Amino acid sequence: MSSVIHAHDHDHDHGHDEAHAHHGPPRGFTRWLYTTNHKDIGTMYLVFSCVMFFVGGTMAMLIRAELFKPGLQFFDPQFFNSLTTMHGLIMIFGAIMPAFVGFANWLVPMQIGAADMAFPRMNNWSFWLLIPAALLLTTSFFVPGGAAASGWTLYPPLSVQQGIAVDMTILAIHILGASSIMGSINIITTILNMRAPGMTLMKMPLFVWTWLITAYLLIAVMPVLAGAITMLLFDRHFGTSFFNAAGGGDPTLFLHVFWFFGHPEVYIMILPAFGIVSQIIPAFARKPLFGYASMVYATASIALLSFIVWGHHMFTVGMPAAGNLFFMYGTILIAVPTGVKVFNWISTMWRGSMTFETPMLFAIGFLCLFTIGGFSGIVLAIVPVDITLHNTYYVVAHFHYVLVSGALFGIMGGVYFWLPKWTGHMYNEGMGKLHFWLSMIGFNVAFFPMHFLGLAGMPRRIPDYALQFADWNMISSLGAFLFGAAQLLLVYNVISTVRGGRAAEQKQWDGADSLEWTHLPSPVPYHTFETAPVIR
Amino acid sequence: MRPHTHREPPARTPEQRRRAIATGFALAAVALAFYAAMILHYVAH
Repeated sequence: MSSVIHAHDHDHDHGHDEAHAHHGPPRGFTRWLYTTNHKDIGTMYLVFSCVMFFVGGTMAMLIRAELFKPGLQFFDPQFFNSLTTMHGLIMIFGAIMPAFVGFANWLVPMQIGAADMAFPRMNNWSFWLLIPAALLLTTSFFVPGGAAASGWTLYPPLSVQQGIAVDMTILAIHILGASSIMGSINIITTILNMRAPGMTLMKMPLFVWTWLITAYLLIAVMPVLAGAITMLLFDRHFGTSFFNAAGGGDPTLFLHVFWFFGHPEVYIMILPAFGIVSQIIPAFARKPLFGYASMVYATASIALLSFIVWGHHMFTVGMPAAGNLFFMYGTILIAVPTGVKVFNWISTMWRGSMTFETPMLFAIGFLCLFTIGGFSGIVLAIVPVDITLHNTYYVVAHFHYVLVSGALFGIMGGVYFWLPKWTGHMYNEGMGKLHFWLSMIGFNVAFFPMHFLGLAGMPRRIPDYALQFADWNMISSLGAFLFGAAQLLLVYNVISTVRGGRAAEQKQWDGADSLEWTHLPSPVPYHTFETAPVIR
Repeated sequence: MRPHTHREPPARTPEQRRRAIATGFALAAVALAFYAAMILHYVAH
């Protein structure tokens, strides 16, 4: 991904009138440390995300190794809880979100015909904030008491009682939140102010639209999370009792505030994937996206509805029946705009001249499996069902169908889709397809049985379980190991594509019609759209 | 002198730059207001 053309690699002494606009990158580490180029920063986000994906993935493998058979195999329960907590936090804040910001950095300026992000220096700062946050999270395993073990939701009273690792986690989340807010400000400002002449809002590619809406969501809810964990910090160290029942506070308040952030967060992680899939499917169906305007409105509707459904994460805390009903109906309502999107993708494929290269395989995998995750979400939205299934493996199955086969498959499809544009080389198609099928099989073998385990009553976040759950757990672990191993193919394929391979064409995919395919060569030059394209 | 790694400045006109800065500050103010309002709301209770 670093092989963008260094088209104007001369230095300032050249005396060119517009020398400042024509420089390539410096060499070595300082290029990456000081870079303000959106493509460099996008690459750094994606590499960071990949590293964190493997850190969080290693934790997932350890969790599945422990659950391979009943009884305690390797870890004590406290460490197991730390593993599940940090797996969640690292995958959400370290892997999925930075990956989408990486895509946004690479693609948003190119797709709207801008020269760069609106605030390039803040862009650099947004990325480099991730490093101390990641170090705080990962090194918290080595402090007395071990890493935070309260679940990624950091519910009190556990999170108020545990040791210094929770403080490290709170600080890390504050930093990550600040980074996300700065990134969102940059993205919104870029989209609203930097579009090329003629690039009206309703001409923007769907990926740009989904990120615009996602960035608004982030700005609305990240400060709420920051507020919640600030109050948590004060409860821990400064004698307040926001969430401490002994001091007149209420732990349930934390749940309300946390999930006011947490549910929109789910859409923050899925809307950009919708955008990626909305670009891949038309390209490989060789048809324009069906119902573009309805896609935009559906995305906005999902985002708005995401603010009024947080209570469905806490049906069991004893809310009034009217409250439960409100959150139940609100949640079920989200199926309407989501259904609009799913049917639009299917209609785009209908009678298209489809081919099934790796990005399209991941997009179709996304479509099938995300829909399963959506349906199990509707099941869980029904209050009496949720009261039974709450905190069981059914919930674990549901959100992994949304976040792995949804968000992650979207990311992987996007990586294969734009890799030729980023690197100038074609990836190994056979290996890409192998990666898809192993991921598809491994994922379903790992997570589909969790529906059965949850329905049978197996609780989540436990290192040991009753004998009746043994068979499906063993199968689930085998699937997880296959899925984990398959991801090495992705890394190998990406690295070998960056290093060389068959040259990619400017418009590598027949039906791709956004500006980066129609106006820019592969690989894209280091500086693009210094003169704005005119969009008709 | 260190070479620029982005097009300098990214805004194409002074007006575009002014609007970008105004948008950025407005969004940052919204985020800070949400943060402060939420904590103050619960402190007040």
